[in-house]
Amino acid sequence: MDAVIGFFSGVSSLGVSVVMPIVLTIIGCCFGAGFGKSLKAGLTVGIGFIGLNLVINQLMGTDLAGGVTAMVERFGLSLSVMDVGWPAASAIAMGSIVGVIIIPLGLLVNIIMLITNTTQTADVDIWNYWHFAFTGALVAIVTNNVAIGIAAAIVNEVIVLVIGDVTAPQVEKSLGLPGVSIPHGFSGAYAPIAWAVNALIDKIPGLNKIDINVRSMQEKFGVFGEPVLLGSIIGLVIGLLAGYGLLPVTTTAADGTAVTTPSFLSLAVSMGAVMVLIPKMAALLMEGLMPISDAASTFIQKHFASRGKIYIGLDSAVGTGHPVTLTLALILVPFCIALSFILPGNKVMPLVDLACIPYMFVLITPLVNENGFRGLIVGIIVLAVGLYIATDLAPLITTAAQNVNFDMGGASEISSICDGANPLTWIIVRIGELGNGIGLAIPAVGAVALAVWNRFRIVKEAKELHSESEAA
Amino acid sequence: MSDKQSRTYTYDAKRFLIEVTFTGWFCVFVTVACIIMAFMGIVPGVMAVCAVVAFYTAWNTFVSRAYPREVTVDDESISFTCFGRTDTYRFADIDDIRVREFPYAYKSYVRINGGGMLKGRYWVRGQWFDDGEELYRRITDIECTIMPDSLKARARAYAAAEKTADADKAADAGKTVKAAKAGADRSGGSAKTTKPASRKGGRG
Repeated sequence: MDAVIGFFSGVSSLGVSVVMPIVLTIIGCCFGAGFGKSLKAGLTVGIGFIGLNLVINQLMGTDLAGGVTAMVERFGLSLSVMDVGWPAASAIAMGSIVGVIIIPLGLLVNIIMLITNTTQTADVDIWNYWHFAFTGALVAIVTNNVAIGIAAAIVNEVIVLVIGDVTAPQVEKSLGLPGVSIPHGFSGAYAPIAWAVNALIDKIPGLNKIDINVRSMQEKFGVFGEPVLLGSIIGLVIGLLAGYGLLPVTTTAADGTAVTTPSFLSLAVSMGAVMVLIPKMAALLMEGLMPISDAASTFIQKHFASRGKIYIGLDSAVGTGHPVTLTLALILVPFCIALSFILPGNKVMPLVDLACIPYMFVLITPLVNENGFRGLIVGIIVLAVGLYIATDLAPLITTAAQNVNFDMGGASEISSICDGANPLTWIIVRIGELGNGIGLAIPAVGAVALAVWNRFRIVKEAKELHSESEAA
Repeated sequence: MSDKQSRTYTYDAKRFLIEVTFTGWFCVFVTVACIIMAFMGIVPGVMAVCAVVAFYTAWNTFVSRAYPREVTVDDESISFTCFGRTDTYRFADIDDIRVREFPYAYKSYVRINGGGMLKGRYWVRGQWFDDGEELYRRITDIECTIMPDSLKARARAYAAAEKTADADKAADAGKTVKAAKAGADRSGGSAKTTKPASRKGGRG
């Protein structure tokens, strides 16, 4: 086992931009995508990672970190943790040893679960395996044991696959996409919370009748819902609150070096640029990975031809365009910023991952039956709890970033909403660290129990479908 | 396969001008500008990233012609037309077609026979086409017809079977309710005519 981990440790030291192309090329070839296509897909991802990190480090690290620090000092805020966003979190996850192994291992686990009927989802959304690796990387740090970290990543995957199966019927109906489930590590984590809140509100007389029609609100937001404007406004506000002027100012520091304070306009442009470039890079990554995703789909359909219903696991991006999801997310962006200022004990300044709030709602929206009121209640709860989770995990995420030589720019501590504020990640990490890793047995048992329950559900559903078709 | 006659769906002219033509030329300009700025040492890393993204968009617009202005579908083929070039694919010649759907904007990313850097990849933004929803559905139908063994086609077949089963159940339940109602009406009908008497004196 030590030799295996030593091998992967050596590989991961090459850096995520080198490792990911190699891993993806091998996986693509294994699935029969062809060497050329697999290499092209792998290189696209590698280039995508380089691009994402350049954007974050140069635009955020140089300008925005300084602005946030200045704002925090000026107002005596305790927001010392910068939200560097999912690109940083994914780079940290995939750059770790767990990240190197998660794609092949995760695919193997998925295949085993399909064979044993403990899942109906073929998770071909290979890119998003990084969410599981993120959990695993944090557990590996707290337990100082990579093997336990890998186990934690698998536990995370099993739970998310079951959540994907169970939410699939509502997702199919809500999105109008038959045969699709969303086994997404970030979106899936909020499904249990949405269920619980929805069930609780159902029992409260009066409250259970309230609904707010948020669909019509979407038009009122108009251009202000566009990421570039949202980012620019946030950058502008931070610059103004930091005391920056209209023009850049150069001063001399105590040691004689020249220090240039940027203008609030340049901060606005930087933040707007970040909000535009990140989705473009993500779209490039998605396109780049499609040949491998297609090859995985073909492999599954060939080798599981006689299985019952199989869902294709897709990225939750397919659901972010839902009008209720978008509107709830837009309403909650200022809420999130306000919560970060007023919640006692919160240290996270939400920035880049404000654009990720729609992803939180992809499963929440169908589970609350598109009820705007319930969606807002769930949203406020998950954001408030999420900020505390992101604060709590910030030291670990910072350590994980340092381990993969991630350039944090001027930030002393970093976190993210995706997956730094992920409740499922937090539960697995904090329970997993008990007894120096022995605590992981608890979520592991939970994951196995869920998988077994899911198997009973799948077999029962298949029997019912079979008897209906026989009767017909 | 749909038995609709040949139909051409067209992108809204104004939107196409702004979202495709203008954007494409803008990306060409951004590519050149970013390369120059990178060589001048102005945040070279970010300029390189911007140049790559802008170049990719410009390539998709003018070389791959990945944003079709018109899509023509008939019983035997599908064609994508953009900037004077028409790529026609006969269904009989398509070995592989993949569609990634984005249902809310009736948007789809279509890859035919693997797709390539020069042709075979198309972003169809149904939202801005005339009868965009119909176009979106036809494209997804074509995928399931050409690749009936795909996971997606099987899932759609399952969904259709479940819908039929639910409809049959509802119809049966409706029949049962109807029959029960009819039975109730028959027995209640005699009660109706004798109601005043039955109320006073009970049924005979």
